[in-house]
Amino acid sequence: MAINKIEEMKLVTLCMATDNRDAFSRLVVAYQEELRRFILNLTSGDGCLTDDIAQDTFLKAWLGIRSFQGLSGFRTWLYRIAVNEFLSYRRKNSKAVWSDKPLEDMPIVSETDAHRITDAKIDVNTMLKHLPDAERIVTLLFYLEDMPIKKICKVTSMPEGTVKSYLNRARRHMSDFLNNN
Amino acid sequence: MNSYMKNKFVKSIPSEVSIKQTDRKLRELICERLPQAPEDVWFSQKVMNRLPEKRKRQHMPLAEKFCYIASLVFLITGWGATLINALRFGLTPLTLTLAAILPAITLFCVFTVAAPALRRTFGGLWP
Repeated sequence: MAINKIEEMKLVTLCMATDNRDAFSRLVVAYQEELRRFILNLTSGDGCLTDDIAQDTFLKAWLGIRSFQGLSGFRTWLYRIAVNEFLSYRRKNSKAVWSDKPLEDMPIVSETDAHRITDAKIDVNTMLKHLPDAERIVTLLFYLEDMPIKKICKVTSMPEGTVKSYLNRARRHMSDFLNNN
Repeated sequence: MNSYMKNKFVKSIPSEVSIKQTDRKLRELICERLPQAPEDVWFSQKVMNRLPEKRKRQHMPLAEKFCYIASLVFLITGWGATLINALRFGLTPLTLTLAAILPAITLFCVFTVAAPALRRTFGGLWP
């Protein structure tokens, strides 16, 4: 359920000024689908973790809605919270099995393994899974969420040059991966 | 930089067109092939159930309320007295002095008290 900018502003104002739960519920309904998709791909398809991070994101948004400055749009602010939640989860669980190795270090899929990766969805997931966190975040925001670089800077709190550099590296890694497979 | 190195360097920089083509292809691939989050009709309900109880509003202390009301009364009285004086006695040094001081005090009150209070109430949406 998409909402326009005016409707969004109205709902955010209601939440800020009157703690209106119905208004917040409408914001959750409006943004949950795309946010959950973003987090699902950020967590490499972990459904339970996705739900946890998505719920925590909305919870933090509700608790901090009065600090929302309204300069960058509610969606951007929500994504910023989601990225911070994901990174904070990663910091807490740094021993978990996650691959942060760049793609150059990845074993190239042999012909015998190739039959296991027949589905292109797995290919794209594998490709993203092996990107380092920062590159994956920037990639998903740019390609999946279709965010311009300036908004990505606001979501990730990175300077424009850094975002472009991560994007460039991710682009090269993904192209290499796709060429090798 | 000799010409060989220069050519090598220039060749190693991907052109704008090739970057755009790669971006287009990657965007298509990612948007089409990455999975959607499974539909969860209870998701928003789960979020709403986790929201804490209604936040307690911070009540303004009585002394602060008194100060606001007293300032407002002072301003209204001051403006009223100045207008009445000006109408009754014309432009005298007193009315001119009051006419200079009162707008300054009013503006000071607006910018230091009223505007921040409104900004606090309406958050970032206040211009």
